[in-house]
Amino acid sequence: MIVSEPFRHDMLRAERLTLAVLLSGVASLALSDFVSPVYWLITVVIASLRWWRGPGFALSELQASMIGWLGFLWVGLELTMGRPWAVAFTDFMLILALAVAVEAATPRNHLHRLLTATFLVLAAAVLTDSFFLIIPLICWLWLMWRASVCLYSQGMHEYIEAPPLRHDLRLMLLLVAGTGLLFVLMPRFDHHSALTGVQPRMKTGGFSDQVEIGSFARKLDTRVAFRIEAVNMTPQRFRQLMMGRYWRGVTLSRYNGRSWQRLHVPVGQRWSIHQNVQLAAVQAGHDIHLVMYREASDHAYIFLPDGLASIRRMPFSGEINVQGDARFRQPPSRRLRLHMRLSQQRVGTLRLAPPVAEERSRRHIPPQLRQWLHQVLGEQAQPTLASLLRLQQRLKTWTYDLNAPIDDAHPIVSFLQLRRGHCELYATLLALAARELGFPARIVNGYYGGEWNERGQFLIVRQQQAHSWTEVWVKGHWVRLDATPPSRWQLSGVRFPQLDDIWESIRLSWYRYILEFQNDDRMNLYRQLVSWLKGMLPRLLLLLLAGAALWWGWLFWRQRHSAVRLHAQWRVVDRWLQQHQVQRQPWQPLRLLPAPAAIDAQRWQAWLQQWEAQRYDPAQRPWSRRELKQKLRELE
Amino acid sequence: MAYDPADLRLPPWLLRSLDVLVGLRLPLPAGWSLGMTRPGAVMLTSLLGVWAAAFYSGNNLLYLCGAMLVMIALGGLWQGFSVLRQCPDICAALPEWLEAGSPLVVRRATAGSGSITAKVQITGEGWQLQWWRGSAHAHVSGRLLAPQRGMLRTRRLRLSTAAPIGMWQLSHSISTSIDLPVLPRPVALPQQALAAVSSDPSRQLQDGDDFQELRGYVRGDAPARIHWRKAGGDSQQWRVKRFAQPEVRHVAESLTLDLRLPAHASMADFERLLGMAWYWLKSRWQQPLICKMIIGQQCFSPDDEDWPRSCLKALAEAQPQQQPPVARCGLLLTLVRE
Repeated sequence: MIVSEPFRHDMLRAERLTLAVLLSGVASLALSDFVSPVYWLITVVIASLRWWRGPGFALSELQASMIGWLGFLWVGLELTMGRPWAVAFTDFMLILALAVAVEAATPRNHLHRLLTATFLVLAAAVLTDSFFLIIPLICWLWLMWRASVCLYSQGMHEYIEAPPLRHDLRLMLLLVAGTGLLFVLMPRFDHHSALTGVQPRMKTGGFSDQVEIGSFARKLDTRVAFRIEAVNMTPQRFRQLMMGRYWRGVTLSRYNGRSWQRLHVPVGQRWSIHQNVQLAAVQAGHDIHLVMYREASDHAYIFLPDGLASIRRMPFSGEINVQGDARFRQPPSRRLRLHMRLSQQRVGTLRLAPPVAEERSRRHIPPQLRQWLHQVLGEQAQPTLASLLRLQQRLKTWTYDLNAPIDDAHPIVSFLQLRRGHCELYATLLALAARELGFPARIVNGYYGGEWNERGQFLIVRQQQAHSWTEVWVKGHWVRLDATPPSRWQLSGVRFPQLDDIWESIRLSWYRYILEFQNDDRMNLYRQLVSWLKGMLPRLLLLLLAGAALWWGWLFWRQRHSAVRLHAQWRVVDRWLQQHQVQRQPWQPLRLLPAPAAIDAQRWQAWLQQWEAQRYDPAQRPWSRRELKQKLRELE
Repeated sequence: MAYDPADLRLPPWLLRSLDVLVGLRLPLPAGWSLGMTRPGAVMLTSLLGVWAAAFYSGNNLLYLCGAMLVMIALGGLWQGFSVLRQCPDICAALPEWLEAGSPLVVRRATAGSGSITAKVQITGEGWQLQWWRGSAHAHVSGRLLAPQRGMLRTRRLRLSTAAPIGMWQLSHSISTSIDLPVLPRPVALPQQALAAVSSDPSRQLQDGDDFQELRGYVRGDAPARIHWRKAGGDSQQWRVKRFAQPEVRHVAESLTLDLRLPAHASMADFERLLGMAWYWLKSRWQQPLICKMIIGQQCFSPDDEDWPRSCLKALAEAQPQQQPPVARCGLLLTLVRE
C-alpha cells in the first residue's frame, strides 16, 4: 500500500532546525585555532545553500556517506604527511559536517546532524578556549532543545503544533541558570589527560637556550604573556606593590659575539605534578597572594617575580636551576593558573649560585667597547660597583630604538656607533663592560612592569613588556643592573586602550570563572556571594519594596485599564446597535436583546458566543477596540 | 519517534540492549514512575560519556557542555511532569456509553492547551486513549472497543508521556471512578410499533414563552424579569413580568422489560431482548418525549435524578432472573403508549 503523506510546514522547520544545530556546532569548532578556515567555510557555504534551496538540494545517503569515507581517507593522508593530529581531527569533523548537511532529508539525517553537532561542540570544548565559544554553545543549547521538541511533535501521526518561540525564551533563561548552577556545583578532580583543553602555543622570541641579539623585542607585540590578580588584598594596594617588578625568565651566560646561550647548570630544586614549590619563607601578613594566568607559549619557562616565596600546586612537573631559571619539563599546551605567594619587599629570594667560568669570559669583547669604557671611566685602578652604576647611568642617556639598523654580524660595535637600540643591546653592552672591568656578568631575559587594567583591577603583562637586564656578581651577590633608557616604558602598541581594558577584563573573567574554575573557587564564590548579599541587604530590601510597589501599581493599572477598555467596548457596541435600530439599556446583556435589523439571527448568536467568550473566559484575550469594530463589520 | 536510534541501523544486539534499558521503570512516590525512550537511553549514555570525560580531564568546557546536556534532560523531565499534572479530567471526554463489539472513535476537544506540545497516553482498565496537547488546541482521541456487554469499570488511570523532547517516559497513576456502560448491539423493534409511536401527533410538545401579565416585585425575583422601563427609584413600585407556562401534554411511552427468561430461551435471546430495549431507548434519546422504562423490578423515568445513566447502567448490568417464575407464555418486552 502506498501512503502519501501531505507536506507539512513543520517538516521544513525541523529540517532547518537540525541544520542550525549543525551550524552552531561548526561555528564552535571554527573558533579553534587548529581549524583550517577553508574546511569550515566550505561546510558553511554548503549548509547555507541547503538552507536556501531546501531539501531539494541534497545528495543521496550513499553519496553523503561516500563523502564521509573520502574525508576519512583524506585525513589519514594528511596525518601521514605530517599534519598535526588536532588539525587533521578538526578537518575530519568538518568534512563529516559537510556530508550530513547535504544528506537527503530523512529522520536519520536529522539524527546524524544532532549527533555530529554534539561531537563538534565537544571537540571545540577541547580544542579552543575562546570567550566567543559561549555564543555557539548557547545557540546549540537552544536549537538542540527546539529541534528535539520539533522532531518529537513531527514524529506523531496527528499534527500538533510546536510551542511558540516566546515560551522558549523563558525556558532558556531557566536552562542557562541551571547550567551555571550545575557547572559550579559539580566536583573537580585532579586528573589530567589529552582531553584537557589545548590551545596553539604562542610563538615568542628570547626565551630559549640560545638567543640571537635582535631576535628579541624587535617590535611592540601586544599579545598577552600573563595576567596577574590579587587574592588577599585590595586592588589598589596590589597595584602599588606589584607595578615595576621584574619577572625573571631565562638566564643567558655564554656570549659568542652575536648571540647568548644558556648554560647547563645543576638543578637546584625539582617538583612533580601538584607539588608545592617553596623558595623562601615569608611572614604572614606581609605577603602577597596572587594568581597568575599564564598563556600557552612555545617555551617552558615560568616567570618568577621579585620576592617570590612559593608556588602552590604546580600543574606540571619541572625544575629550577641554580641560576634561577624555573621551567616545566615541556612547554604546556594550555593556559595555566599559578598561585604564588611573594614578599611585599622587592628582594631577591632565589638562592643563586656563584658565577661560573663562562660568566667571567672576556672573549668576543670588541676593542671599541674597551675604548668606550676608557672614555667613560678613564683610568681606574680598581673598578667598583659605582663604576658600573656610572656606566648604567651613561647608557640610560642613550636612545631607545626598536628598529635601529644594527649590524647583525657586529651588533655591539654597531650599537656603540649608533648609540641607539633595544634592551638586549643595553644589557649585553653592560654585561660585557662589567666582564671587561673584572666582574662576572650575564644577562637575564624576562618581563618588567606591566599595565594596570582599571576596569578589571588586575595587572596585565604583554609581550611588549619583555625585557633584558644585566646581573653582575659584586661582593658575593648578584646585583641587577638595568641600563635601558626609561623612555622604553613610554612605548605601547595598544591602539585602543579603553576597549582593550574592557576586552581583557572580559577575557580574564572567562578564564577565572569558566576555564580555570576549581573546587577552591566554589567556596570563594560562596563567600563572595554571602558578603555581597550582606552588603546589598538594605538595597535588596529597598528593591523588593520597589518591586512590590510596582507590582501593585501594575495590578491597579491593569484593573483600571480593563474597566476602561470594557467601557470603551460597550460604547462601540451600543453605537453599532443604535445604527441597527436596537436600543440597549446599560443593565441589559446582549443576549436578552433581539437580533439587530438586517443581521442574520444565527450569525448574531455565533457573534454573541464569541463576545461572551472574550468577555468572560479568563483564558481568552479581550478584543481591542479595533478588533471589535472589525468583527462588527464582519457581522454585517 | 522521528529520531529513533533504530534509524541509525544499529546492530540488533545493541538495539536489544537499548530495549532492556527502555523497559526499566524507576518507581517514584505518589504514583509516578520514570523510564526512558530509545533516544533517551542514547542521550543518557552520551551524557555519562561526556561527564566521564569532564571528570577525567578537568576540562571546564566539557563540564559546561555536560551541564547543558543535563539541563536539556532535566528540562524535558520537568515539562513532562508539568504536562501530566495539567492533563484534564478524562471523564468529560468519554462517551456516555459503548456498544459491545462496535468500535467507537473518540475525538473531543478538551481544555488544557498550553505551550508544551505533548501526546499523553491515557490507559484505563481495558481501554486506551491519547490526549493531544498543542499551543492552541487540545483534544482527546482514540478508539474504544468493548467485546461484551457489562460495565467497563476503571478505578486507576495511567497517564504516560514522552513529551516534550521524547527522552523520558514518564507515567503517573491516578485513582478515578469511571463506570462506562457497555450496551448490547441495538436490535430494531417491530416496524408496526415504531410507526405507531412516530405517527402520533400528540408526541409533539408545545413550546411557548408568551408574556402573560405584570405583578408586584417580591424580594428574590430574578433581575431579568423586572420590567426596568417601568421601574422607578422605589423598589415597591417595581413590576415583574410573568410569562405563560408552556402547555405540556403528558403523552408518554412506557417500555417494560421482563428479565425472567423462559426455560427454552438462550442467552443470545436475552441479549437480543436487551438490544431491542436499547434500540428503543436510543431512538428516544434526544427527543423531548416523556418515556418510562421498567427493567425487571426497577423503574426508570426522566423524573429520576440520574436519568438516563441509571437506565443505561441497568441495561448494561442486566442478568437473567429466575424469581418469581415466569409464566409459560409471558410477555418479555412490552411497549405501551399512554
